[in-house]
Amino acid sequence: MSEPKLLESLEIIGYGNRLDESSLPAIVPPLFRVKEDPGQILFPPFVLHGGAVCNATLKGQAELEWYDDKGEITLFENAIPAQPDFELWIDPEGNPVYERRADASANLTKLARKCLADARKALADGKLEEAAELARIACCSDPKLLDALAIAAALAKVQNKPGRRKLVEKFALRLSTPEGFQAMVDSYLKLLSPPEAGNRAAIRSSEPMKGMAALRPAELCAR
Amino acid sequence: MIRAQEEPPRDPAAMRRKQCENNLKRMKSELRAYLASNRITPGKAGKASASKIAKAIFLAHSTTDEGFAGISSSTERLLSPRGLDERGIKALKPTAVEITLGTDGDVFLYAAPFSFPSSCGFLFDPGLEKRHKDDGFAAPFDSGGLIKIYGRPDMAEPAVDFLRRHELPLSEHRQYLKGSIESLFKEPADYLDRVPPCHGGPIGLTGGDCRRWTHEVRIPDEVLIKTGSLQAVFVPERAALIPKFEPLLNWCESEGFDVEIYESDGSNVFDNLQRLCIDYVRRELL
Repeated sequence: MSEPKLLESLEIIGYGNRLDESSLPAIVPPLFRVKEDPGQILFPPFVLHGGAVCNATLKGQAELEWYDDKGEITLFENAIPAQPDFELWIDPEGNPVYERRADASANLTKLARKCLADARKALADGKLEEAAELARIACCSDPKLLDALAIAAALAKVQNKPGRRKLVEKFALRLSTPEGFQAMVDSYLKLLSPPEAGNRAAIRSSEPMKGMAALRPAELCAR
Repeated sequence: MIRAQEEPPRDPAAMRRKQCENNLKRMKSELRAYLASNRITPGKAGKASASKIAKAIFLAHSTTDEGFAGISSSTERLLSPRGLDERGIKALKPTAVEITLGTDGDVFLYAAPFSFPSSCGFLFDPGLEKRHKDDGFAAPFDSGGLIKIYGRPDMAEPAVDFLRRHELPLSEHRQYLKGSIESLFKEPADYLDRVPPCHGGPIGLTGGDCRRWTHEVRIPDEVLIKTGSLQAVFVPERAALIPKFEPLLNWCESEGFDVEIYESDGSNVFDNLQRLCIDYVRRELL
């Protein structure tokens, strides 16, 4: 394990994963390079503490290339200066975003809630595939957002996919009681039932996010 | 009448297996000599614990989101670097370490918790080794580190020759693992926790990290996921709704294989994966 290194002395050259497009967005573990000695690369796992990277695994250029050849890591074309209290995440289009941890958290939450709102609307409109994809992005953005899982469970029920429903419940029951989650699923099942005119109008009138689906995450976060 | 001496095997595979058996004898003898010269005597409790770990430690293979998605939704198997290249999944460079060492046709597993910075993982039970006792090999280190990463006692010796001198029979490599765990580590469980050994041991490698003392298991060509040797899969919690992950996770759930889920809402995802894996292994083995 390496000695603690101040983040100011490091730059980010990539991250420790290769993401599939269907697993975006995602917070990722950075690979740090020592600015003064590019032969020193800090690999995860590590602890970020007091503006420093602690307990990282120190590797050299040869190992970096080995991991890259094996397809275990992703390298950036240009290095990003490392900063304290920042988080690296990859947006739904595959672009790296490096920003203050609080901002990253807020932007991912915002993205998750926007996708959730769009998913509710898609459900009400009977656009099940769109609802499923929006729930996926919401879940990837905020894995603790139980509503996304409830939408997926409701969809699995109406699509008669018991295996998928059971799997979604497995993830959900880490965050909720069975009764609490079922109540949430039931509320989404009601949305899926043929809506009365009044119901549909009520859903449409509560669409503060209307028109935002076409926005890129950066534009969305700027709002 | 002069009796013919026992004829050495002519089949290259049989010759290699014979060499592995000879390696095991020599390496066990070298370990005994090392312990004697360094006055290292493992305690009874350590021996029992080491025996349990060495006998039952799972075989680990970790991968990325992309890798898991491909295995789950398409191949349903772990493929060798050559196999990945032939199927157009991942190109194998002519300069790849595996080509230099002649291991490009093998699937790599490790008798240890996950140690690569990955996001997903598979654990297989040791029964997988029995099925490949005639065509698989083991080594008391991750062979990939022999090129440019570890220091070898004699750097003039080609890495591939060093590897051949240390390859072990798949059916017996755990004997050597037991000997290493009980005598070279302060506590046998340190091997699981990725804590470095307190004694270097007779092999003489230096540098690198835990890969230097992690037992590698190589299975030729491919390892089918749905063969009954699977023990558990590990995925991040954000994987819940990823469509390409679903086929394999569904299958695991329906067949009763463990699906272990770790928290993935921060940059310490690999730390979380590794901790969950170590906890799982400890829970199952100790």
